[in-house]
Amino acid sequence: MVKDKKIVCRCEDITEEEIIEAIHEGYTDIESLKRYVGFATGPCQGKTCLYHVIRILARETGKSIEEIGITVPRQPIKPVPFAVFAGQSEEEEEE
Amino acid sequence: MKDKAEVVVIGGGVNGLGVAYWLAKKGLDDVVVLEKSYLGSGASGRNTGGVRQQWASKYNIILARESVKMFEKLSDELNFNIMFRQTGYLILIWDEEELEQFKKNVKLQNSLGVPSKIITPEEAKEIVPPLNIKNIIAATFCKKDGVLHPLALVWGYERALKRMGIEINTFTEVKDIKVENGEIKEVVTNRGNIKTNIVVNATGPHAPIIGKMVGVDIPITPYRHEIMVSEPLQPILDPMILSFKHGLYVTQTNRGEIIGGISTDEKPGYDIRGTVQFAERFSRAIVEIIPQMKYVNMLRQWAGLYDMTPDAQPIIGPTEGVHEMIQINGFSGHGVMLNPISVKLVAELIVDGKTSIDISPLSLDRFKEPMEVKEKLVVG
Repeated sequence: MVKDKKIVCRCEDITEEEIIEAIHEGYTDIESLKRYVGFATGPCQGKTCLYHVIRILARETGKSIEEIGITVPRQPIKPVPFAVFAGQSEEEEEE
Repeated sequence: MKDKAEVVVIGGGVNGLGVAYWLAKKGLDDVVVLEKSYLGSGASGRNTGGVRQQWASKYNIILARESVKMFEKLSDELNFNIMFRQTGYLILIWDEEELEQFKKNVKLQNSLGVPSKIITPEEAKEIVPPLNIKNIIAATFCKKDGVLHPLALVWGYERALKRMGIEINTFTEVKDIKVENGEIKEVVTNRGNIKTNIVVNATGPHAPIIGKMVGVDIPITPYRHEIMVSEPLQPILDPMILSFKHGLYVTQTNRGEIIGGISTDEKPGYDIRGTVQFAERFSRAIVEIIPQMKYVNMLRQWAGLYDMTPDAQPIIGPTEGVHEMIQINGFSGHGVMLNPISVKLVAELIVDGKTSIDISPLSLDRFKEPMEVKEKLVVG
């Protein structure tokens, strides 16, 4: 499979090549890389892509996986409708 | 890492990077930037990127007005798109008392050249069609206010600095600053020492820690402020909406996410974990103001710190006792929107010894006197 067609982050359509390019531009810690490229910021919150990215980052920089660490997970982990947090049922009629 | 430099800038957020950028642009390129984590890891990378000129205090209005003029050209200048769009700030007004205050604010803003105005609820609904205007009595709108991508501003400065050969050291923490007879001699870091005579303190909520190293008290208090984004939607919300009644601010990013924050009951501190209280409070406010939001998913929330000063206005200028430490901090949650002009003025102060706008009232020694003016329009 060619690199530029290998999708690593499916929520945000980010390819392996884009991630490698960003690493070579100098975004070599996991938090900077996440912000610059945008992986782990979509609906899955990194559940699909984060470990692939960590592996790519380890390969490109020679850092160990332990050294790289993971990005800070964000609440609410799974997407939740505002109505739920607001204490309303989704079926309630608008006023 | 260099072991000596003419200027050491502490803080790799928009203000530290911006000061280094302007120093280099003005010909002073023996500059080192130190950041204890990654660039934009503090408040610079944790905010909405709102750019508002609608303030109640004169200096915030002037700094914001001048910053807007510079933001308009900054993507070209940095050769990096900071995604600045001027889609306005819409401030919702809920009662007569608020309306009276905002009439005064708009008058002051207009007198300083900011084109804000009072509009009717119906006019507000034209600007934001899904807005629930049932309980608002008016709004203010300034079409020249806007939003940018704050991390793009960080990256834009970073790239410009790299082109100009300025050394940026990330994951480099300042441990001490050596001072003799009121003169700065050396900055001590976890990666070695740098001899220097001038230090710029651009560390936001951490500024008091740096101040302490030279024996100076900086009255900044850190407060957690939380923020969230939703799943991406079709464009429905052009401006930034503010509601001081709720402590709410909300807009939509270029990616389509609804992004915003709301005030929570906070004690001072450096904790930036997210809370359920925030998620509930924000959700209640957003479904009240834009009812169709109830069906939209919140995706993720995070937090950052406001660097609050006693009068909610920034500290910019030299330091009494340690003259060669230049402060640029205490923006009280507004360090991005006031950034371009503030960093330029600091570079002028260092290179030219004087500034093109008189900012002497913003220096640290103002806190020796009782406050005359306090900025009330802080939100989030």
